Amino acid sequence: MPPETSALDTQRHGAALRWGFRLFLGIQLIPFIVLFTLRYELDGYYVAPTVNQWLGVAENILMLASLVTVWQGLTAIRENDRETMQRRLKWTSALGALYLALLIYDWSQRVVPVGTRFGGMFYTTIGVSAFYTAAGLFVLVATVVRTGRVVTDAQNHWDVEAAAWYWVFQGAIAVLMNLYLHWI
Amino acid sequence: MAHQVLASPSMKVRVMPPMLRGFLWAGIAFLLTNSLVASIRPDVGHPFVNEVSITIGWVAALTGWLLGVGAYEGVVLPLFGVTPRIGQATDWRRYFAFATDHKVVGIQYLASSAAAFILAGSIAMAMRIELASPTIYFFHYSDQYLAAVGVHGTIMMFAVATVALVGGMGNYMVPLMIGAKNTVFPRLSGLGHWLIPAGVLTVAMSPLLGYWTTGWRGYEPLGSQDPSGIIFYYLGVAAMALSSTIVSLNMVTTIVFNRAPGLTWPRLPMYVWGVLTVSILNLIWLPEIQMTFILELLDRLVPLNLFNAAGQPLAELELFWLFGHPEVYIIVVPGFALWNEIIPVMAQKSLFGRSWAVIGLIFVMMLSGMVWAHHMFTNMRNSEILPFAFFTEMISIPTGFGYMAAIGTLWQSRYRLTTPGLLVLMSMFNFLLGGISGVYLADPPVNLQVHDTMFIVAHFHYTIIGGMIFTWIAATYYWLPKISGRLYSEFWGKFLSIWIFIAFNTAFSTMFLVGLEGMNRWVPAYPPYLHPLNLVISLAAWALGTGFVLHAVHIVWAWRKGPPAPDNPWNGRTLEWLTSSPPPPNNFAEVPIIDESFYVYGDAVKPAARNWDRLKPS
Repeated sequence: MPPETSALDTQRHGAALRWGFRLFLGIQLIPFIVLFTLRYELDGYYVAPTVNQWLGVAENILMLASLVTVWQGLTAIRENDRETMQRRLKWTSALGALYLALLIYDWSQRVVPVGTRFGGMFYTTIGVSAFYTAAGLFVLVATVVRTGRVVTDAQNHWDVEAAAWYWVFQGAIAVLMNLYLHWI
Repeated sequence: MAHQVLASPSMKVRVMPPMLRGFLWAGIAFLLTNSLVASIRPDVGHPFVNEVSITIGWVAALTGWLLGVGAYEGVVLPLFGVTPRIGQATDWRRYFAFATDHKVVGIQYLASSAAAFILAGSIAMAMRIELASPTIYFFHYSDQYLAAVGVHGTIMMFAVATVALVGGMGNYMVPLMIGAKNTVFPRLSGLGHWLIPAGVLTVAMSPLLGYWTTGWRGYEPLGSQDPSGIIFYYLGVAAMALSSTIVSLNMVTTIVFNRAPGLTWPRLPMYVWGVLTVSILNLIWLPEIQMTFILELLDRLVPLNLFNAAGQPLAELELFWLFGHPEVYIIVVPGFALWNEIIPVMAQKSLFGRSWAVIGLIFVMMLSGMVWAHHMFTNMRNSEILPFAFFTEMISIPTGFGYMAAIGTLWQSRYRLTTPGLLVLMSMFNFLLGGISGVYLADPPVNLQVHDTMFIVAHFHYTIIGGMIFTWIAATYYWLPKISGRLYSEFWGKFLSIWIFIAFNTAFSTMFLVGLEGMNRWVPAYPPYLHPLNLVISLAAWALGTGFVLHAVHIVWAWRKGPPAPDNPWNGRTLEWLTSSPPPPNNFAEVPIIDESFYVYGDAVKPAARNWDRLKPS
């Protein structure tokens, strides 16, 4: 196979991976549309007055900060700076873990009874979002380990890109769901 | 038990057979996790197993199973940047382990679907043994019968009807038909298959936890009041739906990006259009039903009050049928596409109204999301019923486009009545009856009258067995020479096809009558005046089941012992016929370049691929 055809194949394969991954993220919105619809059917826009709204804000600040660091990591590898990328991904993992810890604390307060209509949707929606966050943490840790072992540079960093896109996706969902269930 | 797998040219590593390792790791993971959770949260009277521990234990077991069958070396180690010490088997053992070749994955899906079909079909035979008598005599309790109905329906829908023509035939044929070497996500695809056996076993074992009674629908609040068996229904469906989601993601991306040069959208093979449209439906509706079942599971385990009287039971029905009716089209759309794939080849005549056949597939896909509430007319106001009745009748129009293309192609053709050609015509006849009875059911007065009777059961079996299973068998005979390099016996193929056609129509046309006579679904006993008709159905159903098994025996025989097949026995024009049978690892010796349509026949027509004579490996 001529070298230029091979390069074209690689480029097209990369585009297919990116497109397919975005399609995957797109369909992952559907479970949240189900949750959103069911909550509207059960509660409308009611938010229980006992919910700790400022804890929700603190959770969102942590998540937003992690979105900044993960994007810095992706930008760094695009500029061929592997060490900065790894450092930023480690920061993202730490912020993500802190976010989950705060969420668990939020839950442990039991400010809303589980069996109520709002309570059911509160714990379920945030729980599903937290599952996506936990999966994202696993992917981030795997990416940090992986990029220490395989060639990762400005040309070869699909793994970092996928981890970053996933983290941004779950982060946006988490921020919206926290706002939706703590404030709106 | 160990066998040798080639790791590198210079070394061989002894490993445990992957499926055995999967079972072992699943068992260990289940025991450890279940014990840990049960010790933290012991329920009164059940210190070792409770609903929470078995759910979390199942998740651990599924993880152990996937890792054991090969995801550990194929997915996890590469994810962490580690090169595994062992590679994939290259002999027959590759069908029993994690694989990345789309053809191996396709055969794995086909085999799993066929095994699931025989399992769920055997349960149907048991149901017909019960219904051969007006009183309960075969099952011990009515709940046992209802659990059998549920296991039968769930496995048939999620492991057979949704899987065989997309995960099975789709994985094998689509890359070949578009001139690709492989799919875009081969590892994900290889992982996805192994969710099917896990899901089937989970649902099959569900009665061990208690006889659940909701059928494949999981209706609430009935589900939350059922014995614990329903937990394995939710979990099994979650695994199987995830598998089909993975297949669909892989298929859509592969079709969009891996088409050969010159294979434009208007030239795309009909079957590929079918897989594309059905994959889009899968990607929309399978995540929806998965989330719904997770909510139902949490409703039960926590417990929450989402779908009981304190919440909204009707919301569960709506969420289920939002998926449930598109599911019907998820099942038959690849069948519609296959009719128009096989008929022009058997007729050696250009496909009539090809664009309309494609438009039909797309409009069926779009309208299928707008008809779901016709399953709930008994729960709705008249003003809500009418739009759904309208759209349900409307969907017969794009369905008719597929028929129009097929009949227009058959018109004045010299159709070769081979086994696949015969089965396609049978499928069209069967689906016509299922479809027309569907239009009839879309009318609210009829719908309300026959709701929950055996008339409905006959209707959907005409669409699913008639439309999809017959076409699946047709496609298997059509592509058997390509997949195996061998021919089947035309005599036995036709004889068995006529057998199942007669048995099927006897069983299910009589089922229409018994429904109109007033026989309800979901009952293992019935008034004596319905006995003669039920006996006819049971006898015909057993004949049908025997016919399916004999088809399977014939296909397996042909696969192993049939006479060698030429590369292109039907004189087909699509790309899969331009390579060797069975195809080599990368499918083609060079990338095909497409210049012509696949569906134009005539004396002056050139091969569809410019380099057709260089595609077959020497």
